Amino acid sequence: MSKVSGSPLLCVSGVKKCFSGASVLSDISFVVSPGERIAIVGPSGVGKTTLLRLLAGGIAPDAGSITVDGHPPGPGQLQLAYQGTTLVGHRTALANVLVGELAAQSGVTGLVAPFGGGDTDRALELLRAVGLGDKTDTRVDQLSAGQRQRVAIARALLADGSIVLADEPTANLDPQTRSSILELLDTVVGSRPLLVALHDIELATSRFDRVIGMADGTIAFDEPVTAVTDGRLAELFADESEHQRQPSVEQSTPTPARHGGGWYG
Amino acid sequence: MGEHAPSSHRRRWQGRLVAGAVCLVVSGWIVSFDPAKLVAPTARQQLLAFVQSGFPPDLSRSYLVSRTVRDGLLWAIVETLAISIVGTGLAVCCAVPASLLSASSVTHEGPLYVGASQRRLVSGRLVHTGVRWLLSFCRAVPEIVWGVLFVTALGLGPFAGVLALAVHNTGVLGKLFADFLEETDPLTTEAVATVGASRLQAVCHGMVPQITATVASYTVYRWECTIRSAAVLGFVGAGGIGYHLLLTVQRLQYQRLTTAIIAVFGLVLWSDWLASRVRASLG
Repeated sequence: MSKVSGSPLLCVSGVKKCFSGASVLSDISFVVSPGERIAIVGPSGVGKTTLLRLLAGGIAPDAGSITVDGHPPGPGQLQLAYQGTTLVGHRTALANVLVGELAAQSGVTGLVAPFGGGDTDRALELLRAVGLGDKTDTRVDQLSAGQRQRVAIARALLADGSIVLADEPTANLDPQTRSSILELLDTVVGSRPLLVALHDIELATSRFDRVIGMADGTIAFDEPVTAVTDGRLAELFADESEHQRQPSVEQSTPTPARHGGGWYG
Repeated sequence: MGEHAPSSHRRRWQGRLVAGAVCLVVSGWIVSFDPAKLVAPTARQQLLAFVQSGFPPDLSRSYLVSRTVRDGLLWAIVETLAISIVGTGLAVCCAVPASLLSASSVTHEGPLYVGASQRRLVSGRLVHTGVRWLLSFCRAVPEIVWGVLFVTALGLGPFAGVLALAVHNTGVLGKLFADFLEETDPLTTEAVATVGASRLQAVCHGMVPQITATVASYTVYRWECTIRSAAVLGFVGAGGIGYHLLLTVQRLQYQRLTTAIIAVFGLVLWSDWLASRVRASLG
């Protein structure tokens, strides 16, 4: 899967983010080279999605800087495949995907493009690629959670960003579709970098070059996948595993321990 | 701690109920609420005499169609309906841009304004506040008062009624639409904005589709309301069936009054049925 080449393209330096006074991300720094495939892993609520939203420009950092080729990123330069719940339910899968090319449209053309005035062929091709060729005219609120997720991916891929980000792209998908979606992302993204927030450690360690482990809003480790050990991952997820194992006060019987290398196995 | 919470919750509700009851009693005293008057012999006799004089309703051709169609009750019903349709249509046309200019999520807050300059945010806030005040003013003045103003300015007729309904309902619908826009899911809008869309594109493809069905449903509801309002606006000379109601009361033609009331009732029932069908199809 490795297509790494050249000097760093994306540079994240000392980024911090608070919501209502509570720190969500602190001192996040890393660089990304062209063609890199990076998995961002960590328990729920550690700030993976917030980090991706910051990179995509959906929210602004309170401190620190994000640069692409030494400059602040332009509109749509970092394309994030949001989770499927952010699509417009009343519109068809095709209309939602066509939103992905709004950056390429002029102000007026862009107002009608998602109704079929845009690059429909490419959008249809992507919908077929994510396995939704027969659902192009189906309203998104009539699709399953997994199908919505795939529409969101197709939208992000239609937008021609120089860096592609994906937030839990394999959520709500069956194991076979998870693999095919990651393969699709890898193929379409090509020589551009790909950063994916994942909950599935097996996929993260088997399909990516590099793994960034996050804990409590900071980077716990940032290593090539070959250097990531089971112990490191177990440590990263220890708090969440502990929390899940912790019987509540009302429970009369203890929660059984999970098998294998923790819940993520 | 666990036992204290429900009892304080209960006390809070008891306090609210007592406050509500006191408010009701004081308001009743202010309006001289006296149910005994309703069952007093003179009141009963007068009410009975009024009802008896209203039957049978006047269904004569001379009243329904009159000498010229435009003078008859049937035309007044059609005119009432037309006033409500044009008035609501005009209100929607004005309310849509006004709501966009008065929704904070469109003018100065949320995902559309990530990294925006302070000057842009301040100007957005000013526009938002100004348009909100304008909508509040349109809404605060009742339709009947707008009716009097427009009849004074433009003369008697349905056009004054149309404008009265349009101005008041611009205030109502503008505020409603703006509130809907502010309650949209910001992540959906953010997902469109980060694609590289302009603010207007993000509003059109991120926010507006989230509220379209609700807007349509509330518009139909307001249209129902304008039918009832249009029926009253005739009292001040702004066209519609209200004028017939006023004339029959002034001339003590109670049988014709009954006919006009039945006509209004029928119109409201029909609009209610039609609106519920439209809302069901939107769902």
